Amino acid sequence: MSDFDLYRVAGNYLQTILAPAKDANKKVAQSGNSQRIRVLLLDNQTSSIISMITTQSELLRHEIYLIDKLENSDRDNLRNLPCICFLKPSDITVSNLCNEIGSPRYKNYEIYFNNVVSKPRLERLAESDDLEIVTKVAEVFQDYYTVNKALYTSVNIANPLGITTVDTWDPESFDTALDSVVSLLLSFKLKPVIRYESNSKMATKLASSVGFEINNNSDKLFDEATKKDIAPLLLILDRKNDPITPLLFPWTYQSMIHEVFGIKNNTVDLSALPNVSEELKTVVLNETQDQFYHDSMYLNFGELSESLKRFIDKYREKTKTNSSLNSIKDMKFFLENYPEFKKTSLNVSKHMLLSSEIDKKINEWRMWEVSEFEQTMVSNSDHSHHQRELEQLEALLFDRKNNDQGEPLSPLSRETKLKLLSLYALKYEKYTGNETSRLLRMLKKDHFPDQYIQFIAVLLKYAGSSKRLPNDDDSIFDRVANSSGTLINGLTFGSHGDSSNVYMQHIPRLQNILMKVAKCKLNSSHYPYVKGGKQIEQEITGTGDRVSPQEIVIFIVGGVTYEEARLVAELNKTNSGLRCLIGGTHIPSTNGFVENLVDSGSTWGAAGLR
Amino acid sequence: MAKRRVLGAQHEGASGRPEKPEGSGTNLVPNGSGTVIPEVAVYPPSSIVTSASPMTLSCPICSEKMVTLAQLNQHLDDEHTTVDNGTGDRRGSSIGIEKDFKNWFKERVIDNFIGPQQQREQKKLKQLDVFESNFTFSDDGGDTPKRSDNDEGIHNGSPRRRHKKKVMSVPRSHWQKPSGNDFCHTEGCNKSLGLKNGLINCRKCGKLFCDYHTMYRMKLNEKLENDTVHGIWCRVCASCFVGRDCWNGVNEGFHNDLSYDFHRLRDKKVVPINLDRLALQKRLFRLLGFLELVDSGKQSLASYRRFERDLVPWEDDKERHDCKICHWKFSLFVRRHHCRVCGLSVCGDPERGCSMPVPLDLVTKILNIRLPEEEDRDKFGPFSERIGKIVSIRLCLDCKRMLFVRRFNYRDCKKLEDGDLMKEFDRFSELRSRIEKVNDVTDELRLIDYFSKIEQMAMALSGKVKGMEKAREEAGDFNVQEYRLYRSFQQRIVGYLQENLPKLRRIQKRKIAEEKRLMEGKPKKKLLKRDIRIKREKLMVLTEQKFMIENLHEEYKKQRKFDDLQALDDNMADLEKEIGELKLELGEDAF
Repeated sequence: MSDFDLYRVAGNYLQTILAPAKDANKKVAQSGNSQRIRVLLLDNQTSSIISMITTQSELLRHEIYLIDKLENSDRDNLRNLPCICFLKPSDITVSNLCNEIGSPRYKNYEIYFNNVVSKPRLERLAESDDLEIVTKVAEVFQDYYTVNKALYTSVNIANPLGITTVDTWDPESFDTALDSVVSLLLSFKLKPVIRYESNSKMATKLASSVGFEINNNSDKLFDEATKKDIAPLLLILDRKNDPITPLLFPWTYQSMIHEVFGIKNNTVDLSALPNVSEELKTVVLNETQDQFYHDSMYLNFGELSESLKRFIDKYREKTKTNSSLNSIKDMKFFLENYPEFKKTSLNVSKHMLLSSEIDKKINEWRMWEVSEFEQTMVSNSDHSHHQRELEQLEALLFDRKNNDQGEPLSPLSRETKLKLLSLYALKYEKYTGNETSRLLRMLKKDHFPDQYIQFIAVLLKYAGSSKRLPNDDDSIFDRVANSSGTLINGLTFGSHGDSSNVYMQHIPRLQNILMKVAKCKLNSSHYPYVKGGKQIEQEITGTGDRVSPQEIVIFIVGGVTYEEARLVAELNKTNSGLRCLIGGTHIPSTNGFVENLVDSGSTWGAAGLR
Repeated sequence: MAKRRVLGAQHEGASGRPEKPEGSGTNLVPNGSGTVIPEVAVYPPSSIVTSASPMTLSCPICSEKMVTLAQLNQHLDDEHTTVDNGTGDRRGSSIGIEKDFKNWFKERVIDNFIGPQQQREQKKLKQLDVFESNFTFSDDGGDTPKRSDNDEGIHNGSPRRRHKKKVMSVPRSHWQKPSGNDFCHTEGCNKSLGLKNGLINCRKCGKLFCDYHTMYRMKLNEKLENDTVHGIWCRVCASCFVGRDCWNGVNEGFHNDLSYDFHRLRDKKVVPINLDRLALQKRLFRLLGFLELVDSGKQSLASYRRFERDLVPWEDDKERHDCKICHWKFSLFVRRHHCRVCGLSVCGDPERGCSMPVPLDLVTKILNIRLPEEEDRDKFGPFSERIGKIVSIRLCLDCKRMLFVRRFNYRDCKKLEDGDLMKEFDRFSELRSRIEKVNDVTDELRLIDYFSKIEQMAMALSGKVKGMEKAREEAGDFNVQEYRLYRSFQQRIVGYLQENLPKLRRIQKRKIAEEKRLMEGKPKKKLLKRDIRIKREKLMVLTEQKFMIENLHEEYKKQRKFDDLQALDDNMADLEKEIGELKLELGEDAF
């Protein structure tokens, strides 16, 4: 349909890149013969981008028989083969490329850059091409990772939380983030109005730079953007305004896989597990290639096991009819469909393995118990339960809980404890009876690592209540909506999970923001517009129409979570009046988020921590 | 009916007033803040009420005076919910003009009512009434009296009329008229339209929809086109919303071809270089030409040495004291040389390779490689041993690169092009294109042959790949790139075969079936007259039977013996199958 679809865009880009070159010298040969064996040359950045959107067999189908990296200097001469380059127009890559075409290894070069190329770089390239072997140069705009249909992230960002001081970009990470947002907008031909969270320097800087790119791009690329009834909205948020979501254990399939194994570039490394067959050591999760994953990625754990059961039953049924190979006919049928069967069976075992391992880990980490406490703690801003919650927290932190037989339960991991304490510290930061420091002292006696002890201070420095946007009417601890499905301005907002499910009580703050956007009630002093460009000015003052944006692109500085991606995916699914993309600097798991903060906190300097 | 109240809240939201009528929280839902539903028309008074004088609130339908908004809501619920489709339609129609209405509202109501102008306000309101009663729908000619009686529609229609000249309006003549028994046009919705579900015309396609399925807004102009600049916001259905030009094609993936810019930039630099190269090449050709003369004895080697210096004036020793490439100072150890084609001074250090004497044999060999863009010309040489081995031409690195690299690359390309891999690939492509070309059913049998050839290729390739792997293990003699190319090629072929497997199997099956038929078909052709007669008789009997069963079927149906009916049906199916078979067998001889 007409939803935003990153995979569709990626597919079209691949078509563009891999389309057989029209060779002017030869007459367009008979179909099939015009295709030649070709080489695909990538760089370190683009190779991971490509790997997330295509498969080797698809490239083979396009007669790409050799894939190599520009950085690899040991490449042999294959002067008979045309070469397709898909590269990031960074300084270093362009230099490498200039060297490459100065002493070419391949017959000719079609160069595709995945972002805007600056004029000087193009000139440099043109000057290196005295052998005239570059047949084509084009920009496609894909300087981001395609994670889900509507989820993207920056490419290999180094320091998503800033490095020297809190809330400050380091230049390299900033460029990465900026590149990803600009190329994303261009790939969808969007010229948005930009709003950002005013309390975040990082978001402010990013927003104004994107605005500058839009208005001052030398090639006027943004002028080619499709004229819309209402300009799309680019919403740049900062993770620090919602530190809760990335600290909570999530309960939906994709999130849990990330939580338990870590999804990196849409692949999961399972080689650490015992008894894993060779084929399952690394598995690919791609919603376009894996129907079951597509159907189940947003399901919660209970729904997932049902869905998996159905999937397996279906598979069994299929194999049963074929396992009884009574006649030669049956056998033949089986053999004909063997590749298909093999694929399905591999898929079944993949998801079996993933979900059983998740189940194991949930029990090992005592997540049923921990998560219930987490969820109830963060789902109200009421301080009146402090005593009870403190008791529960202490019981968990110091492993005082016993099972039914009165034996102590297996101790919780330090990370889990730390996250629990963080939630407590965030919630009761301004409460007079706050006992965070006492708990920390006790943990220190328990030989809690120093960096973890410091973490709470770092967290509060990063996302304490004074760092967050003042809440207009609700705190991040309040439930956003408890009615199932809210209709605002023609848009249905899902209840985001079952409100009766104790594990899914918390709803990310993003929902709240989007609801306000739909109501046209997003506070413009907290979420100012980036000024500049007549058209944008007009949009702001408007003609008095209170029409909410129909297209929203979200970028979360400091990381987006799969839970937020799910929220957006569901919003897209239920509404044809709104389409939404979400992305961020990266996708931290709960532990990833803690690590990010620990890492960055160590460089933010101790001065501010006291 | 709840929706009516909503409007109160809705409007409040829009005009920025904080008060909300009780119970409006959930009711707010169906209205977009912009999607003002007709009753809004009522709100001028109500908003005045809250801001200025609470006395002027009146019901839009019966003009009864109300004290509070809540009371009005209550009143609307109680008194006016029974109004039938007519009202609904009005509601629908009035939305189309919401924009006009808003403008009107701004001018007439807000402008007038802010400040202590209550008297005037009252007057204006009364004026409003006058407009209402004057108004009739121009395109509603033969409408039911109920509709034309309806105040509401008129109420909303009037401002539009007034502002026709000022503000562009979206026509409504194409609107589907409600029949009183309408259903939402959204596929799978099928809600009956009326007060409960709403009755809204999509402003673009004009069809009727329920409230929920017209929660979309787009900009339309007078021609009902989507006009992103001058259009005004209109309420439309989902398919019109999604069908907008500006909404679609978003996933195409925008790319920007820079080839033109690039080639222009390159030409700026490369065109002069190419001229230089031609000049250099010409000199080299002349050198070779002279050497040919030397070879044939027409000139002496000594005159060649003179010729060298005449061809290009050598750079004066005083002008340059270092190598033009490595910039080492010339000295006793770093000797000065001159490139024979450009004449500049370079060093002759063999390690740095700034210049070197290129053997004549090699020069001719390279120059004899004809580039595809070159005209045909006579080949140089071959030179006799005497000269070919002794004479060499000193060339600097730059000139060498300019003169030779293209030819080298071209030669390599040609050589590799003729390699085994490429030949195999060409064969594969050839077979593939043949397979693609086969569309005709009769030709399909040939596919089997093609596929088996490809299969053989795959086998041979996998053998080769394995051989290479073995060679690596044993000797370490291994060309990674070649290996990878072969392996990819093999994977490609296997993939191709797997893709086409179902097709191939289908054809094979057909072939077998066809062969069978051919076997049977031949005697069939010679169907004896006797056979035909027998079969015809059989057919007739069967048809008779079928007829009888059909009759029985009807009878049983009347007698409601449904159990027996099932058996009959089965019987019938069998019969029909048999008849069909017989007919097929008899073909044209059937009757």
